[in-house]
Amino acid sequence: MARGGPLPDNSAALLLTAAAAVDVVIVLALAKMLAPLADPFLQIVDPNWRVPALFVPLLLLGWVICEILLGGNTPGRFVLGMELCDDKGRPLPMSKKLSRGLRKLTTLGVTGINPVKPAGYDRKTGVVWHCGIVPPVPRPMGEWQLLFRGGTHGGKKSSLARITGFRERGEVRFGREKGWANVVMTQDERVSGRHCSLITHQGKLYLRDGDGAGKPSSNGTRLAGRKLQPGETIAVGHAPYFQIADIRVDIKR
Amino acid sequence: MSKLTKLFSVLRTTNSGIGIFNNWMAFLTHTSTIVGNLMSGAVAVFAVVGTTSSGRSSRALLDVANMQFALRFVLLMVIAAAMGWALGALVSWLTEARKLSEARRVISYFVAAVTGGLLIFSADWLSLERRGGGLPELEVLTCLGMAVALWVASFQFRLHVGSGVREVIKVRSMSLTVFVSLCILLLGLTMAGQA
Repeated sequence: MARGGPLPDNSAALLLTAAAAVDVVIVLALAKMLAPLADPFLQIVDPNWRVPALFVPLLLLGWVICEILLGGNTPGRFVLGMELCDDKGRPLPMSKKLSRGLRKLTTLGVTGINPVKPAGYDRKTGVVWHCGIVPPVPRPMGEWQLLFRGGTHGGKKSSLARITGFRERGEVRFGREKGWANVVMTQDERVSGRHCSLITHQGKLYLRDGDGAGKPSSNGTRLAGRKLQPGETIAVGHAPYFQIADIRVDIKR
Repeated sequence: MSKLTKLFSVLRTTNSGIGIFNNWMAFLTHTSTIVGNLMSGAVAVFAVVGTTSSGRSSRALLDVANMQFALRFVLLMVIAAAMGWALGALVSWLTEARKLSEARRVISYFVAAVTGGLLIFSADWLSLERRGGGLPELEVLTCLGMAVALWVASFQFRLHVGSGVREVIKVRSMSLTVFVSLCILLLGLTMAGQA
């Protein structure tokens, strides 16, 4: 998945302009650096025009390299954290990047000069620009994954939707008691029979210590390092992990 | 009241620990914003003092003419990072979704223009005139300074990404574009002046 969310069309156009400006300055610096070396080959050009005479072909060369060989990655876009993705937020496959690059070259990038609309070659290849300054589109909660860092299920990964309790009641119970827990942790001695639960309520995820009927866990539950009070329920929010006694479980959104 | 509703009604009180954590984060963020702004302000004053004092042939605060390129390069990177930090933090603060207004939008663009101007001013101050086939210092320092400042500013925007209101994203994108545009414009003018 991309690092950020999809940019609105006009913002993408603005940031692409800024990225292009950075690239132009880089090529200009390069042209000025290389001008003395290229002097023997530019004898027919007036000395005052040697830098522009080198700048234009370098710009075109850089353009072809970045759009075709590097799949649309330029230094300016890298600095701004921009990424080419498809409409589902997945990185664009190389074939589509190549197709986009070729389309851009055939129009000499002219259709891209528009501050409000995406470029024609971007629309035709289904490209969406993603950037870190936009929050990523959250995946449905059912697709969130739990990664166990230790204990009985150490190293195992499971999406919430694949756990029976979540599908049936919107609740995942953790503990050693087979009849109660959805995730049974029999080999973990520090985990209580009915240790804790993940509960969904009005589209949000909550972590509850204990069995929910007043009996707390023996060795505690933590959310991102913060210890829950016995029997407490707390919103998971953006917390990246929780702990069942001393077993860490990462939440991959 | 159902058992579950009762349970969730007490959540506000149990989340106090996270509330304190958020307050601390807000405090740290604001402190870093102030430090960033002070740094960029100090850099600007530094640059002015250095330039004017050398203009008066008195002893300059920093003797740029006799400083090695590596040192000047590092100094500019620090300045660029401070500028990017200040730009990102100020524009993030000005474009908080709840408070976004026309005045704040204009101030954001103004801040971007000022930081762009200060960056080119610093690059010009720290670059020496090119001799023969030497490094084109102004262009090299400008492009690297711009890259660092933009990276740090967009890093700040990532930190304060908020709810992603369309208008906020637009103002932030526009601010970065104003910053770059002003850098390019002033670089062009500086280069024309040197020619």
